[in-house]
Amino acid sequence: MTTISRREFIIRSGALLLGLGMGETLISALTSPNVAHAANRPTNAPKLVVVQLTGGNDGLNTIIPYTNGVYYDNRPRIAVKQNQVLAINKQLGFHASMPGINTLYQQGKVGIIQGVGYPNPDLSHFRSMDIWHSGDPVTPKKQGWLARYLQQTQGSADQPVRAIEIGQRLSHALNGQVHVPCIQNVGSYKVEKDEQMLKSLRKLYQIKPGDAFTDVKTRGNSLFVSTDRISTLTPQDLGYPSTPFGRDLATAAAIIKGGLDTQIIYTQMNGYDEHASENSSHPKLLSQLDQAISFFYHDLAQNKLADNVVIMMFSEFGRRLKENSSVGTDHGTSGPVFLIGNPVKGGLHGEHPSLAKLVNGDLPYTVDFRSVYATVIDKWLGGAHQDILGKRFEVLPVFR
Amino acid sequence: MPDPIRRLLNRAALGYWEPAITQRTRDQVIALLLKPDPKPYALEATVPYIDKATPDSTADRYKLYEIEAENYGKIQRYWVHRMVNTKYPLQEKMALFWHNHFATGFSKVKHAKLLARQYDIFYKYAFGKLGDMLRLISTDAAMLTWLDGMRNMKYAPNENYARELFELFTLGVGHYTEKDVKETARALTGWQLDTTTGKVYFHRPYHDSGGKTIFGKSGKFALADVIRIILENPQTARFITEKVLQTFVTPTPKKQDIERFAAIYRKSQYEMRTLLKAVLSDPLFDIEAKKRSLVRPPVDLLVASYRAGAVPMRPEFIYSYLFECGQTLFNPPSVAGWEGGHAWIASAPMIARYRLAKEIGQTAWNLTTKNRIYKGSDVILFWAKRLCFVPSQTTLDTLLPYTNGGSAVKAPNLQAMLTLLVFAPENQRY
Repeated sequence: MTTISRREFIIRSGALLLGLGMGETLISALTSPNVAHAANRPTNAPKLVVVQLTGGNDGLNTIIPYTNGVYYDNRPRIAVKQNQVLAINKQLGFHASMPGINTLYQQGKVGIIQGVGYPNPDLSHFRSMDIWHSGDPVTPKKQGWLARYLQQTQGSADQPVRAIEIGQRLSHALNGQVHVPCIQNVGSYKVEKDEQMLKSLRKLYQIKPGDAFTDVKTRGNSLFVSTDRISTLTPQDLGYPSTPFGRDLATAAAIIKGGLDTQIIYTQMNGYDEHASENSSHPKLLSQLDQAISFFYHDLAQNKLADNVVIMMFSEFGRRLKENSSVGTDHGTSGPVFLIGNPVKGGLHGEHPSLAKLVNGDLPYTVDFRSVYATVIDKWLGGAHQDILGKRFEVLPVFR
Repeated sequence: MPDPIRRLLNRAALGYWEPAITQRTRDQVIALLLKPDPKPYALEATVPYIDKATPDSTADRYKLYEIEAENYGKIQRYWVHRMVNTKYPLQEKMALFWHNHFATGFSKVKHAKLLARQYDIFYKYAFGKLGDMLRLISTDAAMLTWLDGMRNMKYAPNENYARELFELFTLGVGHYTEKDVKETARALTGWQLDTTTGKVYFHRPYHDSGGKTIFGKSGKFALADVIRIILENPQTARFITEKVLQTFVTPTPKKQDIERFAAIYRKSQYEMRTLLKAVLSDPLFDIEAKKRSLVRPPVDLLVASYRAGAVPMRPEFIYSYLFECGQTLFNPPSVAGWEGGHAWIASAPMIARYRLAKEIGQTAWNLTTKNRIYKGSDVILFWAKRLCFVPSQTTLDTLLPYTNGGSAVKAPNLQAMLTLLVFAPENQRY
């Protein structure tokens, strides 16, 4: 058991039964071949772009405690040297490969929530990721936290592209009753170009009263509608770094600029599992991340969209303070979560975990990750977080 | 072919299967399916072990990684070929079951040879005893890499494998304590992998020969004892049986059915052949199969479609299809295996399913012509038989405009009809 003081305070507990026992929603309206397009102009509605750093980002080599002797003592070979740090105050600074995000920080557009984690940390990637995705560290939830958000706040009108994952497979965070399209890029998200054939496909998947296979059909219909909507977009790759993550953010930009009523965009960047030779690979990752994020921000700003978009950047866990024998770090616990955008109140939030008071060799957490979700739900997306997370958590003053 | 046999083939034989055509009863087909391959051809023999760490120059190492990646593609392709052309489809399906169960991936193992070797165990022991499987997998090179068993040593125990052994491979969450995991990890110490050759060996100095207490039993336990203790626990039979039922019968097996089959499994000393025979012959199987209550996994759909179409496969197509569906062979997303169920028909995999339908439509359309079948209704009948399903009224209505009354259907329409049949909602389940 952890002995640290928990910042979460529970007002009301009791798990919500979400969507259990509910049948498939029949979205008969979707089967209509004439789906009206919303006017394709960017909307002012708040948008969240989730950036998942997959593999467990080393928070201590991202935001570096560059004046802390304990940090240097524990990492003789992989500590970031002081001349490689872009200081943000007398204790902490960005890694030098993050000049773009550092500049945004200096402009007050980056909120760093320190020491984010959950009680009784699980050091397995997939279990920890599951916990972050389902928003529950104790009982695994069938639906992800964002999926529950989508369901709880679902309007009467069909919104087939209210959330989009950019990537190869749908993350558990978005897995639920509301079908979320998962697209690799704007160009490839197509079913069929031939009009005649497309008409036949719609007919094939038409839902009639008393039909069987409605689970397959509703998914097929959601697909036809979302491809229809996404086909209206223009690729926006120009100027974006030609890394996989750079291209994914270019797709995110295309969605936002193209005026889809998309509220949540989910992206991932892989490779953060730095068990060995961290010195050479981690800075490269941070640099790719930095270039893509800063280009994305400036692209939105140029198009006067930066007031409507917030980026939330997290990883399933941080890494051990002490370096391992392979010049890398092993799975750890808490780490920083970044919120980036004009609506964000920049600066450091929460308290940095003490490097001198480790729990089983790991950093204790100081902010419950569900506090971050609660804040994003209440203060940005719009909604009541206790309906989605099952109980109340502290809302952090991270938004303007 | 009677309908119950067709339904059996869908779920237990990866689709249309010529040898079943001459069989008259379901039981005959089940007997045929449960006949093991007497001379399994080793997939391991198709790729070399590549030691990528030893070469000094980065360029050499880079080259070796490229070759490794090619070999990884090769074993994926070979396995799909085996599944399409096999005389032992249920054995292949069970190899896939075990691959998903002891899910091990190239992303960390990084040796096609070792993954192929692990597959050979899955295939050879597909119908065998769980005890043998556990013994072989616990000391398997790919698994020792994947879950860090090779890093599990007397003075630096690593619990990764011990934890998954209980949580994902035999008992399930809530049936063991943290202490059981720790003690089991100690019992499993000493198994090492020679990374220059890929050979596994037992290194006595690394083994912790001290006393351990696992599930309340104490002794100087090692691997064999751990497996014995696991098999003594009736929960193991329930856990594996539930997964078998979820794979072959229903996504939501009832508790009493799990108990019923688990008892059979346990009584047979965990022989998969006995369990499968009981499950496939049970009335419940056909009741559920009639409802097509399972979402058909991408690999099953791929193999069944190629069997139906009897056309050559394009390697690039296989890779991209499996990738887009999220079912890349030899690289499941995590040790928990594939999520399955409705995740298989999310948007991206659904697009991939349509691409498969088109691929089959464009390459296999003239099989009807070759069989001197020309009339629209006959064409539909022909494909329905080979795809092993009865088209719904909506599907028939959709196909109608492509038929040419009573006259011969034209080539483009034959392509469209086959595409629509492969993509039909009812064909996405089985």
